[in-house]
Amino acid sequence: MAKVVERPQEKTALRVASKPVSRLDGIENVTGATKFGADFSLPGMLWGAILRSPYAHARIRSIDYAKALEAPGVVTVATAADFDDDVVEPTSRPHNVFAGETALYLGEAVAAVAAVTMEDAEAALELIEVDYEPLPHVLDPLRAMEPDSPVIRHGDGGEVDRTEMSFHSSVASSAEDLEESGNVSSQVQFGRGDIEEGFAEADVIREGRFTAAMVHQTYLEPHAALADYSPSGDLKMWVTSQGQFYVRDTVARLLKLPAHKVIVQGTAIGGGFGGKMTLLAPIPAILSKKARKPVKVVWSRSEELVAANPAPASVIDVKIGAKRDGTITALQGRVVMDTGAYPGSPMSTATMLLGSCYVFPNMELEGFEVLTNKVSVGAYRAPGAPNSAHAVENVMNWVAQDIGMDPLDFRLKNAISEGERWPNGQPLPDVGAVEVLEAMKDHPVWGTPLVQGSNGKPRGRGAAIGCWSGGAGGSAATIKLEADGSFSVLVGTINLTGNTTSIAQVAAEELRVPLEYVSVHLGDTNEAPFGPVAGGSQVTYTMSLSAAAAAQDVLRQMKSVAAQRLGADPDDIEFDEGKMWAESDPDRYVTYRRISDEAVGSANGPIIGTGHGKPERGNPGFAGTIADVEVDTETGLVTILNLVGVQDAGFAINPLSVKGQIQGGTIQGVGYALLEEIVYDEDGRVRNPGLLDYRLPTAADVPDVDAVIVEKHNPYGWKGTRIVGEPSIVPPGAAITSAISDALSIPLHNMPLTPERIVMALRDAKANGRSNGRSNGRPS
Amino acid sequence: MDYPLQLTVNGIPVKRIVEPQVRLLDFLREDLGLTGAKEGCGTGDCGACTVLIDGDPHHSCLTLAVEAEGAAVTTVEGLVSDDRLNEVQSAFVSAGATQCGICTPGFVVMATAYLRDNPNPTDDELRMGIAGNLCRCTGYETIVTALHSVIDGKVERIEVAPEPLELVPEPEGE
Repeated sequence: MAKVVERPQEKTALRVASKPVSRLDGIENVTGATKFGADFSLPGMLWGAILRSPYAHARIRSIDYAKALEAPGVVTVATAADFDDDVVEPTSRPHNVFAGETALYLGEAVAAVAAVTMEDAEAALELIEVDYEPLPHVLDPLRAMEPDSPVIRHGDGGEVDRTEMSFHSSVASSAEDLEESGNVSSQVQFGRGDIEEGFAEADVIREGRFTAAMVHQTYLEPHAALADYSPSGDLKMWVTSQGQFYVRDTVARLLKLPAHKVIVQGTAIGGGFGGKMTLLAPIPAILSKKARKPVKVVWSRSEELVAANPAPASVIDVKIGAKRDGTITALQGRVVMDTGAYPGSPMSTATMLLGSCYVFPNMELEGFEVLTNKVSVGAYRAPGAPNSAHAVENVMNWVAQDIGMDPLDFRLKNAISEGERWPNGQPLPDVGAVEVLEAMKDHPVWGTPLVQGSNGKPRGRGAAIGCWSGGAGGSAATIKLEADGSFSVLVGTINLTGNTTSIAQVAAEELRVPLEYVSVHLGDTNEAPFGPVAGGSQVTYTMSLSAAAAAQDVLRQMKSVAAQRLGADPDDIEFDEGKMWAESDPDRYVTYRRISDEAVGSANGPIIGTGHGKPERGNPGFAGTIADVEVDTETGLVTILNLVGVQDAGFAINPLSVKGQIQGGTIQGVGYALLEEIVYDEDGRVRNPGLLDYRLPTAADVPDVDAVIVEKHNPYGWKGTRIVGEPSIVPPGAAITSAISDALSIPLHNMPLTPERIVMALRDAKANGRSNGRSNGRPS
Repeated sequence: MDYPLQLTVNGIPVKRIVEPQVRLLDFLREDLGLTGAKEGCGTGDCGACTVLIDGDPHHSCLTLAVEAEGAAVTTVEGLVSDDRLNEVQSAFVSAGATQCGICTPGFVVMATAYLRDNPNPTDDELRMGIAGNLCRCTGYETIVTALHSVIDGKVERIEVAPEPLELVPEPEGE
C-alpha cells in the first residue's frame, strides 16, 4: 500500500527509479558467497583475544604480561602503553582503545594477545597479571547525579569528542553546553514562551516519568577485523564497519600512520544500526604492527553484549497541557540519559526531539547526560528518539483521552509543519508529519473499531508518531563507461542494507540503460572516492545526488565523443537505451559500446565521470505506528494483533527496499517495547550476555507489518528522496506500550513491558484499587 | 590428539586430520574455506551456523567436527544445482528477504530442510518452524512471504550466471 501525497513528475516516465527491485547482491547473499568481516583470512594469520576488566571501577596499578609472552603460540601483547598519550583522548572511547590508569566498567578492554591459534590467545589471557585496586562504583544514573556519588572520569574531562553522534543527525541539537559537574558530562536546555502561563491556560494537564532500558543493536554479525601490517609500513585492513573512512582516520591517528598508508576495505556488514564504527579495528591494527603479521580479531556474542556500545537507558519526565479544543499550550520535559563510562550519548538529541512533532507555544526542556560504571553507549537507529517518543506519545494519548478527542485528530491539530521551529530554533523545511498522520487515519485498521475478544484477554490500541532528523553529509562517486557499453560505479560507502541497489537504480535512470548494465563496487579507502559513514539514514539521500552527478559527467564526455563521430553539436545529442544520436538526424546513432571504443583510443582517454553530492540540508523523516494488542493478564504475555507502519520516504527509489526498512524498523521497535533489556547485577556485570536471555523478536513473536509509504516531495533530495532507514523505529515502542496501557486501563511507564513488568503493574493496580479489567476509561 | 576425519561436504569426499575439540563450524570455515555458515552467537540461539548433516539441520557451532564422521554435510554453498538456485534461495532473492544478509545462509538451509519435511505448513507452523533463526533486519515478513511462495509452488529457480549484454545492435555498415 503506497500513498502518494505529492508527485512532481509522473513515475511512469521513469525507467527503474521508483520500481521495486530485488537486491543486486541477492544471489551472493543466498549462496553464502557474500564475504562478511569474519570471512577474511590471510596465510600466516594470528588470532587476537582481549583481556577485560573484572571490576566495574578499578585503578590499574600495573600490568605484567611477561608470562603470557612465553606461552605457546603467543607472538605479542598490546596494552594502553602502546599508544602515545597525545593521540589518546581520555573522554572518548573510540580514541581510548584500552583502559589506562582506570578501568571504568566491567568488560573494558585492558590488554590484547595475538597468537597462532585462538585457543593459544585465550589461554594466554589468563597469564597476564593485572594489579587492580577496586574503587567504589555507581550504576544508577539518578544515584550518579547525587553529590556524594562516586565520580567516574578518565582524566580531568576536557573537550568531548561527539563525532559519532554527528553522523546521525545534521541538526544542531545542543542549545548550550552548560557547565559540567560531577558525573553529569553534559547538560542542555531549550526554552520557549512562558511555561507557567502555558500550563495556566491548559484545561487538561497530564504527566509521567518514563524509563527505557539499555538495549543492544544486536546486529547478527559480531564485530570482526583483520589487519595486515607490511614491512613497507602499509597497514591493510578488512573491517566490518559502517564507515571505512572513519575507521581509516581513527586507526591512522592512533597508530600515527599517514592516512594513505592505512588502507581499509569495508566488508559486507552483517547489520550495524549505528553500533559498528571503530570500536574494534585499532586492536588488530596495533597487534599486527607489533607482530608484523596479519592479525584477526572476532568478538564473541557475549563480548558484544558486555562491551560494545549499546543504546542508552533513560529516565524521561514529560508534562503536557492542552485546552479542551485540543490546542496544546505547554510542554515540559526532563531527560536523564545514562551514557555509561564515557560521554557521547544522544542525550541532547533526545531532549530536543521531545518537542519535535508538534507546535508547543510554551516549552521548557532540559537534559542531563550522566556517567555510570557501565559500558559506554553508542548510536542505535535514530539514537535516543524511541526513548523520547515513548514518553511524549504516551502522554499525548492520555491528554487526548481526557479531552475526549481522537488521538490522531489531536495530533493533526498540533502537528508541526514547514516554517515551524524545533526546540533548537531551527525552522523546518516541508516535513511530512501531517501526511503521515492522515495516512494513519485513512488506514483500515484505524477505521475499524477494536473489538474485544471472547477469551477474556483485554485488547487495546495505541498510536504514535515520531521523527528523525537524519544526516546530510557530503559524498562522491565515480562511474566508468566499460567496453561493452555497461557502467561500473565506484563508491566508498559500505552497502548497509541495499543502498547499493538504490545507487545502481539512480545511475541506470540517469544513464538511461537497464539496471543490468550497472554494477556498484565498494572500493577500499585508497581506491574509492570518499563516502560518508552509513549512519543517519544518509547514504541513499546523499549518494543518489553524487551518483546522479557522476552519471551526468559521464554523459557529458560521451556526448562529446558521439558529437564528433556524428558531426553534430554536443548540445544536440540525445540518448536512450544504450545509443546516442543527433536531434536533427535520429536515424544515425552510435552505441555506448562504440563510444567506449573511441574514447579509449582518443587523447581524452577512457571515460570516467566524477560526481559530488551533498543535500543542501537535512530534512526530517516522520513515521507513525498503529498497534492493536491482546494481553494475557495471568502471564503478562502480549500478542500483537495488528501492526501498521507508515513512513514518509519523500520519493521511494526502491519501494521494496523502503518497505523492508519500515518492516524491519517496526519489528526492532517491538523489541524495544516488549523484550529487550541489558540487565546488570549490583557488581556491574551483565546478567544476560547471550541471545537466549537477551531476547530478540523471532518470526513466531511478531505479526506482519502493514508498511505504508507516504511520499511528500523533499526539494533537497534526488527526485524528492528523503532519509529512510531510521524513522520507522521511533514510534513503535510508544504505540505498543500505549496499546497495552489502553488494554489494561493502567498507565504504564516502562520499556520494555516484559510479562514480568505487566504482571507486577496489574498487581500494583489491584493493590491500589484500580480496575484491571477492560473498560473504556483511560488511566486517570 | 589428532583425529582422522572422513566425511562428504557438499557432495565432495573430504579427508582431514582434526583435533577432537574443533567445532564443525570452524572446520568448515577455517579448514575448508566454506564461510557461508556464520557464527552469530556460538551458543545455538541464532541459527546463522545451520548446516545439514545427513539432511537434518544442525547448529554447526554446537557440533564437533568429529561428530560428522562418515556423514554427508551440506552447507549453503551446496544448495545450488544445475547452475540454478534452489527454490528457497530463489524465493529469498525475489521477495527481498535478505537485507544485511548475515542470517540468510542459516535461514536458507533451515527453511530448505523444514519445507522438505513440512511441505504444507500453516502460517503459524511456518513461523514456529523458523523461530530458531534470528533476523535483525527484515522483521521476518519478507522471509515468511518468500517461503509461502515456495509452499504455493510459485517459484522459478533463478539462474546464477548472468546473460551477456546486447542492448542495441551496432548500426549497419559499422
